[in-house]
Amino acid sequence: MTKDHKSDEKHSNEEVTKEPMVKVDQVSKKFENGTVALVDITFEIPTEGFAFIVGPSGAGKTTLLRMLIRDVVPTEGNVYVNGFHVSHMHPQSVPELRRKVGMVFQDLKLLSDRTVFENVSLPLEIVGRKDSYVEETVDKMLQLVGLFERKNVFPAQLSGGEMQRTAIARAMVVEPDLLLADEPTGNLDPATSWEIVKLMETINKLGTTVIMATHNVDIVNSLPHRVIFLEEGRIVKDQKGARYGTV
Amino acid sequence: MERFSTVFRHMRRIPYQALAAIIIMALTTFASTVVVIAALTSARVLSYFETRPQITTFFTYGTSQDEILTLKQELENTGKVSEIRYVSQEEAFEIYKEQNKDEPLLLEQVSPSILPASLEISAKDATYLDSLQQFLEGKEQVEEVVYQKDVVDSLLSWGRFLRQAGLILLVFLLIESILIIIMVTGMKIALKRSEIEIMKLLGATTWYIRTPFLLEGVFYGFIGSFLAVSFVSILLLLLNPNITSFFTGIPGVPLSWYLYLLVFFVQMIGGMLVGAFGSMLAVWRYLHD
Repeated sequence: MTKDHKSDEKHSNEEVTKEPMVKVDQVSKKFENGTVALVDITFEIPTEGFAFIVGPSGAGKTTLLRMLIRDVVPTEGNVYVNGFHVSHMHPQSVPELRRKVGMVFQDLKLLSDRTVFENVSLPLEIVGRKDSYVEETVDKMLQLVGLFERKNVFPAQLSGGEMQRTAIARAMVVEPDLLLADEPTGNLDPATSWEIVKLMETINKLGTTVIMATHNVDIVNSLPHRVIFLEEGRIVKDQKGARYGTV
Repeated sequence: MERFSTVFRHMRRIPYQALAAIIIMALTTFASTVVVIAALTSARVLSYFETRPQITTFFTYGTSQDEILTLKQELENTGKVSEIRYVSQEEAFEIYKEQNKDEPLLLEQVSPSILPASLEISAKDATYLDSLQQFLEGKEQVEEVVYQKDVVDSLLSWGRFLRQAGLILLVFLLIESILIIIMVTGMKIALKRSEIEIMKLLGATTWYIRTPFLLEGVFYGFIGSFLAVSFVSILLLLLNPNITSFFTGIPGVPLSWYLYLLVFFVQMIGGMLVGAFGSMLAVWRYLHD
């Protein structure tokens, strides 16, 4: 990346830091195969906020979250995350953005040939932290998610909830400013789902902005957080403490 | 260190391909080391023969020393001669006595007067020998020109063949090594596609992902060339007595161990560079942004 690019992005950082953690402005996405995933989406999430994105399958929840880490580029509109002008950033700056945004993927994306400890330590290795720091931080994170005793086992030996918690620990280990969670309670029993949500709330209380995509009605309805309803790629409702069933 | 552990993890995952890459690198470095050592040795042998008198000219009886020395001067003026030695009849007799000291009967029958005087000529370059021979044969006082043409020609042609065949073999092995490393690295990249994708999503830079693959190529080159030079060292230890006796009297043959070590060092660096180049091509081909 050239110096000019860096200074442009830094400049835009300064402009946006006073603004919300996430700002999505009139964003649309049409894939090459013609599928329209998002249409004219606009919303903001304040720093240290907690928001649910809900909607039926195919509503565009995953596309929207992937857009926030520039895994998907919008066809139209602007996306700002933590000071980065994500929709127009230089490809070489993408790693810098992704290091500041933790993401729990719908399919978890754990490395099957690495232990829980190795999976969770991966983001720290990527940013080049020293071994002693990695060990201390990962152990602390595994204690937070209740997996310290299981740190030397492989993902295949974990239960669904443990795998989710491993993915959350990996997303959180670099102390990101923003945590994105794509269906983190999918395929989990209610008790485990609640454990995961409580963990998300704890993380939010520690100062991290959390955006969680889900279609778990019970969770959304029982928490007083903001809910953005998506349907066929459009926001059909955006309100605090909304009841999913009322859409 | 973390990068190196990634390299070893890659290698453990598909060990047979890694082994194939190491073996082909070892073969290439082995061939290249043998060719270099053979070329250096043949150059020493050739240069030794070039410094020996290659043409001996015997003069007819009655040719005076002044005539011979005049001819010597003419030869020196051609600029093609590096050394000329005049051997008088008396000196020839001394040489004859030395060569036949164990044969008293032969010594009794010979006196200096029946041995011809001669000039022993060394050319600056072996390619001048033909013209020097023609020059001498045109002189009436010259009785015979003894010219070690066959030995010199054969040495020249062997040296040329060795260099050309070695070069062709090396180019072939080099291309093969690079292709094998591209194939192995490409295969590893394909196998790790999802892991690479995850690393990118977690914020890994392109170079963070590329580096272990590049190091892997360097590692194949290092291990392969280390095995090759180790094998060559053992061969040299075993064969050196034979080489010494075969080339008795030729200075600098066999080569010194200092020179061997220098060749080994250069070969290992070369092996690592070939490995790095192969994996760099693979990374460039299969791991672009």
